[in-house]
Amino acid sequence: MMPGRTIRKPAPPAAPAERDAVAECALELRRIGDKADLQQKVLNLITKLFCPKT
Amino acid sequence: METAEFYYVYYLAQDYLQYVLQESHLGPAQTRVAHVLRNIASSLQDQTEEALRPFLDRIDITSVDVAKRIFNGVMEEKFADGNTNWGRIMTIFTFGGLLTKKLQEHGVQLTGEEKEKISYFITEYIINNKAAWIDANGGWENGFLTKFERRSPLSFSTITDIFAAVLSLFREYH
Repeated sequence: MMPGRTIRKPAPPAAPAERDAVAECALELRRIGDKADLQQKVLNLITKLFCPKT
Repeated sequence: METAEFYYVYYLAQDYLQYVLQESHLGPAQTRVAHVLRNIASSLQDQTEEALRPFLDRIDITSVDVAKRIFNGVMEEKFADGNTNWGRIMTIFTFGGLLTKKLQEHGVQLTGEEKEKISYFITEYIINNKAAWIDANGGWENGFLTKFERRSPLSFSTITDIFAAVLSLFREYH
């Protein structure tokens, strides 16, 4: 069963430690995502060049 | 009422979380997209965990509501530069997986309902913020699959190893 939607209450302000952790996690995820995307682009290009039939 | 697109992403999130938690009853993925997501995103899972653990260890993730607040905060900040790509989309799932594992580590009993809530907030974020981008970039079938379905027998690391070997041979003789 799907959990029902609830009325959104304003979120309490995050503690400084949480704000820092959120910012650091976001930066790391951005880096990991961008790197994975670029690697896949390169891999697809190489595949296209060297294995054009696949 | 949720749309078909919502249920599509909800299934992907639910399947990926079950896969990451290594649930014993989990069979093969029901769709090609879910199968590729399991393979590609889980290959990033270890990297994500290693990079983010030091930061997440500083905060107490003691309930699904706290996990949701952190998830939304991180996503907002991650995409704040205005760029989106499929790699970043995959890290939405890997981060969801990591938060689920952290909840377990904090001793939170993850019932079926709790796991549904996690899948739900991951889906909610994607549908509310990234559906238009996904649609404009071919959708899951023609965008994500086209890009990430393995067509080469070689992995990226194998190819870089081959290049490094060729380069060192070249240096040796020139």
